[in-house]
Amino acid sequence: MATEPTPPRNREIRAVSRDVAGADNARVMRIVATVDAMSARGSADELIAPLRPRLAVLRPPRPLRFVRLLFHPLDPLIVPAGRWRPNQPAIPRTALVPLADCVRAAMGPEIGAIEAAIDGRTTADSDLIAARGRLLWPVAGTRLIAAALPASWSETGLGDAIFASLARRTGAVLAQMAAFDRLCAETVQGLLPPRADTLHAILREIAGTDESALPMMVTLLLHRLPQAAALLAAGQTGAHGAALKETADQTVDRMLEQLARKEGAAAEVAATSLEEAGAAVRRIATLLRRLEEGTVKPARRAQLKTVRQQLDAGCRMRFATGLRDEVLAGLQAGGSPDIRVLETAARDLRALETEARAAGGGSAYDLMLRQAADAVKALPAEGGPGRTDRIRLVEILAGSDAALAMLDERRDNR
Amino acid sequence: MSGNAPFLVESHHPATFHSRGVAAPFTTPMLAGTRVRDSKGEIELVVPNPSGGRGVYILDWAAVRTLGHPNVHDTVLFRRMGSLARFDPAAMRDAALDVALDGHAGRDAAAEAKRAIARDAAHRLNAHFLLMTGLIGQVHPAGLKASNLAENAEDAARLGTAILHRLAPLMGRSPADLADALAALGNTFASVGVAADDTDARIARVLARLEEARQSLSAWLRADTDNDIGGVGRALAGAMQTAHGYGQAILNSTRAVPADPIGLLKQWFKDPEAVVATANRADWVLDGWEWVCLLWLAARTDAARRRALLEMAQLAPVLPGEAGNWADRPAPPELLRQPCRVTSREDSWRSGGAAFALIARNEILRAMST
Repeated sequence: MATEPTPPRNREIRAVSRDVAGADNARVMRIVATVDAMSARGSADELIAPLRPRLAVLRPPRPLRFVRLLFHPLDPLIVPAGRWRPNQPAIPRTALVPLADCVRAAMGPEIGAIEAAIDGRTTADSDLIAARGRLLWPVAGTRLIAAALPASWSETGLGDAIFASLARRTGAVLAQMAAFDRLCAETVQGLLPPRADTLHAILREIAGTDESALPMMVTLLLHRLPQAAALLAAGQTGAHGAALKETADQTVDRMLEQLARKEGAAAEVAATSLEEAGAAVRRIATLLRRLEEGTVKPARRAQLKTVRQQLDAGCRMRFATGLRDEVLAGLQAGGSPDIRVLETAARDLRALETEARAAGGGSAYDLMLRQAADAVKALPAEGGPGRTDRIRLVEILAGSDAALAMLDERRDNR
Repeated sequence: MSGNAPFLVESHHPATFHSRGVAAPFTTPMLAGTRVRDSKGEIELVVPNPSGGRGVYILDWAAVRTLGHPNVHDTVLFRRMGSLARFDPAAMRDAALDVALDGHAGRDAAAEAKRAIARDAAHRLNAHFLLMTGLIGQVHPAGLKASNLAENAEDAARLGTAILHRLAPLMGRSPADLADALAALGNTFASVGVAADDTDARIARVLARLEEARQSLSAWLRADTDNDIGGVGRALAGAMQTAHGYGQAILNSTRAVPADPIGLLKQWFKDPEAVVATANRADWVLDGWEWVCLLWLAARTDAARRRALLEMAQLAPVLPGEAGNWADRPAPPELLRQPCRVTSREDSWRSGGAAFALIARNEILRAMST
């Protein structure tokens, strides 16, 4: 999802927003919790708009509200209203509540049961989201396709003419999200190949409802199942086959174009939490690898090269800041650092680095890791992490041979 | 033994528990499911085909280092194995606890190892005490009941000493021999539990964990038929149920042995190895199952559970033919073959960047182990 914030409209909010933007992580989490606790958020939403890039890194669990559950599978499509354009395969953030209002009005009392089920739960509860979402999304999608303009649409500032097409496209995709979510689950986080017949059935359904919704679906697919990129056009025949091939091609071009920009792959990796950075890099790298398979036109080959360079730059940046802020800072703070936190950060760094090497930078990572391991070895024997803790940290950072040498050092010296 | 060049043994149907080897709790992901056995004084490692396909690699440690890049924990554990007097699940567990206690599996595993070692000591003491009270009950049926003895340790010790002195000449041993033998038997049967209803003994806890995992897996499969992956979950649940039933039956028959302390003492003096072998049967039968259960129990989300299923399928233990020959309790035929098989085209899911998270997860499982 693009995370560049939209400037707040209200002057007071703008002033508070500036303060908020400079807050430390703990304060950011408190602010978000306060805003989340409001029954009517109104302008408060604008207050946290500048924080969204940091929220992408901090990823605090947010209260699971109806709107969040409804649009959960469409998250990669949601963009700030200021950056949204009508021809984009995207949904402006300001449209979410009015679109949800349409679903509420159409579904009536059924909503009460859903809200009761998610009451007090958070976005961290992935099983609940899947279980409730798979019931909600198909019904809500169908309702959205034929929804009438809600009164709250005026607050979006998007213009009435936009509503019908956006609601129809969003509904067409949302209606397939239960099937798509199952398809993704069946791959067991990429361990098993996705079922081509299921994927093609989803695409056919969407094309049958509204062909202009296909770019949204292709975008989602490339985000969640990059390994399925090659399946998009393969085996597609019939009325929608040609349209799908063209859509897939255009969407891939658009996505690569975005990833190649300054705020593309590099910014995406840099804005990801260290815990998730490795997976984010793997996702992009998998996509690039799949797109490189077979015959590739020269223009796309050049695009892929640029994205790879962007990815490399983003990885190096994320690795360097992660090493500095989450490992070295902890070691150099003195006293007894939380060794579990340090080990977790070091493991996340190695996971990132291992994936990142596919984009380049091998010798740079080797150097940084060696320096970090040396910093661990140089820690004073007294007062800091114990010997075994240090051996473990060296192992995570520099590998088992370096750690074994450290382990056997004392034995040799006896 | 292969030397340094790994080669695949495509057909691996061990006839005995010894040839199957002991499950080694290595934390390096590429060594998942590895078993270790003694081969003419050398340690041999039986490493499952990393693809999940048929066959195993039979390797020495040098070859393992080229295949799986074992971490420090695994290297230290392997070194510790070199000093083991015998290769069985209990000895492997003791070695693993020692290594964990030193912190090589992380701080949580170290803390749990400390607790486990203390608990083992308490169980050994308890088993020794129960054997002694059982002996008193056999020799002096009208004497104090075990429950009373438990309240008065001095009375129990005094009465026990008197009983040993009475029994010693009848058995052609000294009272000290009998006391030593009872202590050794307490150690031998501690993990099994001497009391018929002991739910706290280690083997009983492993069985409880097996049942907990099976129930949890079955409930999850019932909740949504889409949860299963090609029948892997159902096959595993079935195998768990059979293994639990067989393990429980072996445990019950093993616990019948210390119910006759005089007979047990006679057998011990005649053939201690046979007594140890009897006491260890349940441990051998269940060897490897706890890790499979922990993979399931540690998975907290549906996505993690699906992933766990694929790992569990590769690690479900298969009993050797020897188990089928146990005269008093033949093994169910379905435990003599792998319940299901999951093969992968590549092992990137447990190598590269993914390995770091898996090592952390494996260390959590080490901390959860009984």
